[in-house]
Amino acid sequence: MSGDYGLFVDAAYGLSAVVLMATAAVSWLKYCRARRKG
Amino acid sequence: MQHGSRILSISAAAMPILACAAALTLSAGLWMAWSVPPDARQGEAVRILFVHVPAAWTALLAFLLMAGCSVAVLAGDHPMADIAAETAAPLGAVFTALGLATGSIWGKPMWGAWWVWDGRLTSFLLLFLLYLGIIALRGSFDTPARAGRSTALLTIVGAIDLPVVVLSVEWWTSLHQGASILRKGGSTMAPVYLTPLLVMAAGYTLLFFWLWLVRMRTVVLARRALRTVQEADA
Repeated sequence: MSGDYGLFVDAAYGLSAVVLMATAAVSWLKYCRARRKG
Repeated sequence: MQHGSRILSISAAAMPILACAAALTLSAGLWMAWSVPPDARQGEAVRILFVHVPAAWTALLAFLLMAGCSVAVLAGDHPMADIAAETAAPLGAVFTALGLATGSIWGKPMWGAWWVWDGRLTSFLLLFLLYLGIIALRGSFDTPARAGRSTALLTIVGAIDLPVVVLSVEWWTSLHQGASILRKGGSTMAPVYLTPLLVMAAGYTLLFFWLWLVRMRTVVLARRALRTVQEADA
């Protein structure tokens, strides 16, 4: 995005998106593995 | 009824609903967050609050829920409460880390510093360290039953930090702004900013509960598989 502090805004949203999506992906993969074993 | 059967049946029904609700709420919240006009004083940086505040609130909620589960563990030695506390801890740590990181990213343009040792920031950092300590303590035990009682005790003692985080801006002079939403006399935040903030907070909360259920199901299924192997070996 453009404007004042745009880089900080992009960093905050980018970091949040990456961390939350990675958490969801890891949790879901672990769940799929447990479901296969169970 | 087999151990964990109830949570498996409840979560099977709740997980798709929570996933859809979280996706819709977060999509709406993000669209609203990017549609608001820049703030007169903060400029575009006001948009950071829509990811920072919900992360911090969810981190506090996760610890509160863990403390409730820990009381159940110590009072009744309830195995599902222990699994609930165990699975909430890494999620709480993730949301706390996000709250710290996004707060730091907001602080640099607004305060001119990535970090200051004031009451709110320090007590929130302590919350993150408590999460790490609880995860490490649980990992140091061989059996879930022994780990459960020890981590439950640490969680209940650590819950003292929750009111300190919330009230720190009133107790001590702080660079962090005071309570502007949950306060006597109502919110001081303009509705144009308050609405997307509350929608994003709802989205984060729904996402947390979905992740929590996923992780609880994972642990229940893994322990069942382990028990099956142990019974086959015996």
